Amino acid sequence: MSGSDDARRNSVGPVLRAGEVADAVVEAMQQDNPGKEFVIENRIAYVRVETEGECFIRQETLSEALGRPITMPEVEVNLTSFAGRIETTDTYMRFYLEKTL
Amino acid sequence: MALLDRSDWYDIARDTNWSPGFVSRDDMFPAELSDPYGIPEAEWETFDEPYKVSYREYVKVQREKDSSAYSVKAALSRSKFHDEADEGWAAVLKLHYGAVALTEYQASQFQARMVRFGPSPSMRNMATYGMLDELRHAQLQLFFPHELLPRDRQYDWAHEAAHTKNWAILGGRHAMDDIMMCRDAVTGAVMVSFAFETGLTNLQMVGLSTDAANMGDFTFANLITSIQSDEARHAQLGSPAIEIMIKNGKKKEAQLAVDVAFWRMWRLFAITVGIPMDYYIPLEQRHMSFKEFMHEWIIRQYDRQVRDLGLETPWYWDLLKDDIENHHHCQQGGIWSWRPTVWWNPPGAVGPREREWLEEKYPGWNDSFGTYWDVITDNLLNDREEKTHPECIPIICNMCQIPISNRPGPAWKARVLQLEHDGRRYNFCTEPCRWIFTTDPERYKHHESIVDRMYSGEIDPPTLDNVLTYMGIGVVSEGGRDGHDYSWVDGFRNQAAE
Amino acid sequence: MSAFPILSRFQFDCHVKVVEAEPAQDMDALAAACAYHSIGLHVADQPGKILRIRPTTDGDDAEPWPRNMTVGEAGLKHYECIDIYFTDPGAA
Repeated sequence: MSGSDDARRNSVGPVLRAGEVADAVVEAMQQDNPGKEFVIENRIAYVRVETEGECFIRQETLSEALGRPITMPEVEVNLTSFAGRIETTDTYMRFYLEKTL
Repeated sequence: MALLDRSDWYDIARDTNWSPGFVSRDDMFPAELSDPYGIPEAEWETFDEPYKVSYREYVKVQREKDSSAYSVKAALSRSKFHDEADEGWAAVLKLHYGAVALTEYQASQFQARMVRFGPSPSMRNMATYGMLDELRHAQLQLFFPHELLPRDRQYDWAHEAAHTKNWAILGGRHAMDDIMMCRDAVTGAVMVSFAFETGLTNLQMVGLSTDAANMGDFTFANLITSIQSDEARHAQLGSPAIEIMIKNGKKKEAQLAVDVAFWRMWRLFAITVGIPMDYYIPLEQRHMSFKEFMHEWIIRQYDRQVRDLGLETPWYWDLLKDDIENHHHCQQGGIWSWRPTVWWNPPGAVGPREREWLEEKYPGWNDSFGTYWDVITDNLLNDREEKTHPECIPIICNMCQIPISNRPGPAWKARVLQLEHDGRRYNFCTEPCRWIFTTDPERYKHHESIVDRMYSGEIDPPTLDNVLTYMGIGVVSEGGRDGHDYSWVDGFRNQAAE
Repeated sequence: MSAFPILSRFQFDCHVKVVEAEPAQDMDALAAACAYHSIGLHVADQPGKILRIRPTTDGDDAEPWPRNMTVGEAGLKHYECIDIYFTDPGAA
């Protein structure tokens, strides 16, 4: 247990209510964060999406993945929690940590 | 006409502020309600919440959240789910609603204090949404259990619990009064928004959602994840407050607030989440152990945020890791043994298969907690049900208000930690609970635990029946009984027959 | 002086329990009163063993009080923590 606590100590990313928005976020994040490896944990009611250090959800990519326009504030409906810190703008959400341990 | 981007006008809209002309700023923002740390006004002007929302967006998004929560409820209210659901799940719901629903109103009042007394305009702006969020949570969690009332009077505790002197409510109220109701805006932002809402509320609102979905209670799963999406936003009031405190030489004070609040909430949430996850949810529907959940969300995720902000891991972290494997197991035993004192029907739920699972998740469980349940199981197998009801009461911690307990069996770890203060002897369950008292004895010293009240004359005479009535049992509803009418011992009966 | 609450830390039990003690009660009687709330409820009986009482200390190593000493003589007070534990009949 302490091994896995340690191995993912710099993980960041959203925790979303399961559903179409969560699925679209997973798809969009893989496009918007090239070179990043994601750990996706499906827990039936929610989905945890995590990667090392920093990642983005971009509004344009997310709208395409979802097949309809969605604004960043609307993502909040499904953003139950997140690991790391958050930055919110009109066009993207960023999850990050300032320090790498 | 093209609309401006939010970022073009957000700072101006948010930072509505003025210089008071008729009163001084100190009168308008008295230190004891606003900022007791003396951080300059100009520093608070730098407060920049990371999770931004405008009022227009807020209304739109919240409307969408509410219509989803209520429409899922409406769609599923005709289903037979509650007729067929395991009584263990009903225990989860009753415990949840009784402990949480009216606490949300307290949370709203706390947010309102930040709305009025927050030293920074952007803090006041964000807290306005937080205040409205918490109203939404209270109303949802009063409305949802209401339809279950005709089925079972114990659901009335959703509305009544906070108005009683039930021992579990005394514990919740003591902690919430401490961190929410009786703090200034800045300390409250650190204690509630950060220490509580970025960490432990996830356990209740996200952790239980998967169990709810596994049980087939999509109404509840949808409800609590919707609530937590508000928390994820307004919890972000905490981190800028901590950063400004650290930058202005108040790291020690911020650390103290985080450490006190986290431990207080931990002691409660281990009961409201730990016991459901590891005992009340039927074995087939459990998705993770409480310990696994704590390691994912707290030991890894929350502690990481603490350190990223420039604070230290709380001094008691090793004690916490031990408590994760101990506290809720003790309280499952205690709540079950004193089941007439609670407003739900706690299943014992430690049949042979459940014990195997517990041993796998918590190696050593059988040698310790198992010895406690062995005696109970033996009583139930041999028609001595009366011997499963203690005639005494456990001593209660003068901080968390929870029975003082620890690993039973050969380990024999139960121990009261005492402190003499102003001629009174106080009892504590753990080092952190005793430490919290010593950080501010004036704040805590007058409170009486339910046991203190039995010997101070408030509950007179201090008989078990009188204590139960004092706690609202038999008044609001009948108290608890075994959720499965002892069917969990059948596995041992069958083993013996084989 | 009438009955007052002491805190029974009974060997192998999970909870520390509130038990009422009488000043005139001797240690054997107090041990029996504590046993009534632990043995057969949360702790298995150990027939043949003798229960002794000592003050609760950090090292679990205090000397037991004599079995016929009274609660009053031992100076037990409101909320005093005591250990009640099993011993072999032959032990001192």
